[in-house]
Amino acid sequence: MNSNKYLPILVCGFGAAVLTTVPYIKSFSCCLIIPAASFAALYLNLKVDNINLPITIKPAVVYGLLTGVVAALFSSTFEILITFITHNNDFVATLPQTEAAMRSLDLGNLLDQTMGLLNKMSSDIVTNGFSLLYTIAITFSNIIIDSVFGIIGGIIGMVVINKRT
Amino acid sequence: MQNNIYKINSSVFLLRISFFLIILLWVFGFATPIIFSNSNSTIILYPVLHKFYSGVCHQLDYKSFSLLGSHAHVCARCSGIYLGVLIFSALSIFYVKQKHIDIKFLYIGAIILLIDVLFQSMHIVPYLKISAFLTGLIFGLTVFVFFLSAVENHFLFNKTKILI
Repeated sequence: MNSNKYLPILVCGFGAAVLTTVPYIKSFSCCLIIPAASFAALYLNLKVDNINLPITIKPAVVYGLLTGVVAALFSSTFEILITFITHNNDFVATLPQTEAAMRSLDLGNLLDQTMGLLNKMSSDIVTNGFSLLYTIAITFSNIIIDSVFGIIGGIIGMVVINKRT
Repeated sequence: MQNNIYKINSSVFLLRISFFLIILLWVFGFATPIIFSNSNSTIILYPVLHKFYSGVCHQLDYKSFSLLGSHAHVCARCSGIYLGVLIFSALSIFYVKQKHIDIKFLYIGAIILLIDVLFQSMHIVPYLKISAFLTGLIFGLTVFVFFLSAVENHFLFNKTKILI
């Protein structure tokens, strides 16, 4: 198996994760980063592997999916590392305001259970810099979203590459 | 022959309505703070939805649409892209007939968006939500045409041509 085949996925996934996670650079990111990374991975793979054209939808979807998953894993890792170092993140910072707004509603037992869970995550992050529940939640949501956006990028990339050639 | 055309048309219709519903749910999710801005009924979902959408947008408040102090979960440009996709997915339900579309429309949409991003990032022009929204809307409209075409051609027609 050609190991170079997966290099574009790793490079583009890593690049997308940096652009969507690292503070300051993050402000330039938007929903087009992951699809653009999938497109770039597919295009670079053509150059590396000399694949016959036209590209079919299957490799386009697989490349998009893998780029999305790699980007999600890297971005989750970066976020966990940044949280571990700073003992703070957006979730911890905005939780008091959210709790105040929630307390203004009469949600009864449901609110207590929800806030108990959120406060546990927040206190774990503040004291240890790490919360297992938070880590699972962000990794899971990143994988779902980035995979979908990666597949979309792969399919659009396939259309553009096939049309150009 | 007539039966096959009917089957393809009903499959196309089902696929397009599925896309429309998924996109509608996605748009509803990020617009929840604006839709329910005058009530706190969805505040319990706010941290979850905000984190969920953070993977695909920087979520800077000054770049997001707001109503009564509640900001959408994505910026104006992303809102435009998703609304463009939603509008086209809604229109595509009522227009099943296919015809050739030139890919230059996708390039034009992308170039307009890229110029706006570059000019605003380099502070050549000030950041305007409406310009970000409109360029996103144009790109969203064009990009969905090609995405839908590729999916339908593969699963329903087994063609490699760009048709919609």
